[in-house]
Amino acid sequence: MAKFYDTLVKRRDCPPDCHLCEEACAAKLGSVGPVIKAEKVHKVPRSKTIACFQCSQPECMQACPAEAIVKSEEDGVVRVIQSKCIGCEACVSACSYGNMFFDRETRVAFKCERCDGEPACVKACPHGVLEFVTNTESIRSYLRTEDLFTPGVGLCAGCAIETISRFTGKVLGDNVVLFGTPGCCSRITQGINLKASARVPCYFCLMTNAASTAAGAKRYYQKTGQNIMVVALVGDGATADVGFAGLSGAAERGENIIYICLDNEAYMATGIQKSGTTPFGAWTFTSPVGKQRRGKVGSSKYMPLIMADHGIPYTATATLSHLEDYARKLEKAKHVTDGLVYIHVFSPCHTGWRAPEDSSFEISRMAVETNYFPLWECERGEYRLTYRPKNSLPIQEFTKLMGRFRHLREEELGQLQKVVNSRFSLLESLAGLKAKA
Amino acid sequence: MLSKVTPRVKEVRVLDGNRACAYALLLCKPDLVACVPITPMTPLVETVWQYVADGRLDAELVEADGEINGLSHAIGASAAGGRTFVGTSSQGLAYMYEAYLKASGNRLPIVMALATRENAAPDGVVASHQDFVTARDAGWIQLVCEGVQEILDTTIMAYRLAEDPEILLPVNVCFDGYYLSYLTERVELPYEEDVDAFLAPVTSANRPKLCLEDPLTVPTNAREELFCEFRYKHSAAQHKAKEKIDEIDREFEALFGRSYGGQIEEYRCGDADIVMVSMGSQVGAIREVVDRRRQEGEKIGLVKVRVLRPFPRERLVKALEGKRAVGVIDRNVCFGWQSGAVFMETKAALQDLPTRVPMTGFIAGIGGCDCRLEMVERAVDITRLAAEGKPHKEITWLNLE
Amino acid sequence: MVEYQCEYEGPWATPKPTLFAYPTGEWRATRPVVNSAKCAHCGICYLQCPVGSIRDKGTYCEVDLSYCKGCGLCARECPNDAISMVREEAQSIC
Repeated sequence: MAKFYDTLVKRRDCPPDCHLCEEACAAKLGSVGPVIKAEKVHKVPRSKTIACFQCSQPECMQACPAEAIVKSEEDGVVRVIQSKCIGCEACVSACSYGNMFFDRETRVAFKCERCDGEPACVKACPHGVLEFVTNTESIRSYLRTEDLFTPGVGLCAGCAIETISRFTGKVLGDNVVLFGTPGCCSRITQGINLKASARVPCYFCLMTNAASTAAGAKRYYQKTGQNIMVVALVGDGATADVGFAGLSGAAERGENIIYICLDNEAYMATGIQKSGTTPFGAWTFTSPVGKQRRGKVGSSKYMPLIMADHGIPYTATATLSHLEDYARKLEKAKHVTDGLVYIHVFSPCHTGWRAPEDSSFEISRMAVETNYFPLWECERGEYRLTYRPKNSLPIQEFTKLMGRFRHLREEELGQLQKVVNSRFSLLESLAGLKAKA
Repeated sequence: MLSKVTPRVKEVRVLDGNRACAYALLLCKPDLVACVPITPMTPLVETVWQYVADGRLDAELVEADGEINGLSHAIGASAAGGRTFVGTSSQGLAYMYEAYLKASGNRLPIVMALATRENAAPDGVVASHQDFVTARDAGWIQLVCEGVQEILDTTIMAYRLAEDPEILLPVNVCFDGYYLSYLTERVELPYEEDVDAFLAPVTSANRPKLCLEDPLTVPTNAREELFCEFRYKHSAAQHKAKEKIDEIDREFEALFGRSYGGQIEEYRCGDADIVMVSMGSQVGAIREVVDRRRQEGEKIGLVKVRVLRPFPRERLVKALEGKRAVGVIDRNVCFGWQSGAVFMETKAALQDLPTRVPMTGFIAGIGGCDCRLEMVERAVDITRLAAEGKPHKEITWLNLE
Repeated sequence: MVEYQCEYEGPWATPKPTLFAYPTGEWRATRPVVNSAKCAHCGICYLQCPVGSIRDKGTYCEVDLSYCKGCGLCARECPNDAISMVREEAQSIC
């Protein structure tokens, strides 16, 4: 099976009139000129590539009569062997996407060849617009097993919880007993009538007691010498609100469970009502917007820091746009044997946040890039930011993606920005990144 | 069936109810014990914790942050296949109520000791039966003790009952706060090997659990007929428990030499024309009054109810058939009937009889009041009036009237 | 006499012989169509599909429509626009 190949992707919007990528490409390739056009880069939507697709069945390769075009099995890049090129330009006409070019002077074809793994355009862009995605094969290597649960899960199309839960299960492996709670997470652990939804043992808890029920089972497995991982998949309602006491107690007692909070920032399963993690100003049905009310009043509980402050062996934040980061954190979680592991996963809910069905990855990305949801870990008291955005973006880049913030005025956005800034600042100083006064 | 043995006693000690229950745990060897200190149960927690610290008991201890999380530890461990124990009282039971419902619905054989106490409000950290009576329809089996020896013995029998493959229900061992939890009595301690032998049929019994070899999910989201089926099975298990309680009592007597009568104890009921019915420690006071009256020639008997859930309907009906009157002394209030719960349920049971048996109800010993001998005497007199067809009050609050 | 559906006393569910599965393939209003020639085998859709419907065919990826809900994440996130979402046409239910 061929491995996954690297790809070149646009992640942010370009500032107007910037041509730095095109200029860098031209500089790299020399007099022949760039293979990317700044105009095109400006126009292309986010998540799309800005240069040659490196097709699996390249039209250019099929059209070439001289076998001068080859696709490398090693890195998937389609290259022109210039010594073999006969200058017929068949490839240029064959490429439907305008990604093949011809040098009239030397009479050879040329194209984007990803600068042998270090694209000049990406290096040259100071705005973080371009990303060279190189880790999909590495992420795949973390997957230990097949899906732990059914392919037919009753969650919304495009649900981040579904993506994250499947990924989590495959990385953790099947030597596991799962504990779930009522809420969106329930679809994975709860059986329907005689049939289970998961192929590993599951206990379906109450919202008030996921941590303690999981801990009780783990205690029994430990006592009887059974080496089984106990994992709780819980929503934000059961974590920050009604089940908080139990979680806090379990952390304090050093119960050895992996507690994963899938945070969609409201009680979504009951139809979008505010929870302890709903951010300031956000619309929900119980933090409505009207003449008298303007969304959520007050700030939200920042659970990951609260849990880290319990002194547990490992705390981390993660989200689905940074799967390698999450996989690494899950691997660390697996090896903790002397206390509670808490992982807080940001799980965008397009239904409740009023966003398109296909937007959960983009929302996650922007959450990280605006520092709304920083990626960090705390390993036995040592804090570390596991990803820092190159130029963080203003909070509007995140809020504009969702309808739940649509009503926010300048000053309200400013308040939200303040919360985000001070939280990130606190994390930076905990991680020892702030210069001492 | 256990082979014929001569009952033997390891030693005799003076213990209070909490410590007798704790000693029973030494013998029953639960895998996990989860308790939160609450008056009047706290010394039970402390005793068990010291046992573990001294290496006398190998159990996982959970000093839970709150009762619901304590019970949830037991639920998790029980679902994983372990033997568990929880201890609590009134407010603790109320706080864990959400999980309390789950434990019985999931058919997990947890044993929970209740040092019974008034439910707040009014706030009174005092004895009564209100806590477990309020929770009686959550699906647990509820056994009630009269004395401290009975607490030790009932705890052992509770595991035999709960873990029986035909039952698989959690069991409350209820004993009066203060009167039994703190006051001391003479207790015969059994040998550990004898308790091992008594529990052997259930200790190795198979039941569904959370294990990798056979990965199951519990509880499932059951709908319509399937949901009904689980309730039906649960109800059927409660019904089976009645005979099982009698059977276990006989097995216990054969091995340990002590019997409590099973679901009910009939004391001098044979030729009695009036019978007093009650449960808990005040049965002792009623026993004394019955003996006094018998000495004076009155034909009076006592039925001690040992199990509130399942309600010992069949045996009560048999015991009370043909009696001229029945007086029920309750240490609890059933608000719907402005009487006590045992009164209400006995009255319903006696509907089965072809001839109506007049009944009188009494509420005594709630809110920290004693159920004194003179109160019982008054209750007997009022019941006698009922037997003779004379006008009388149906319900009397003995501490107030 | 009540006939029991479940072999267990309590509400235990089993993954055998098959797991419970909603027919989520019937939910979608649009379905992904892959232009496999254009696919660069980057693996982004494979890792991101919530349902796990993407199948790795070696040098390109394909969608298994059995449980696909038509969310469109694969189409949106595909760098090459190798996936497009087309409307499901109405089908009679026989």
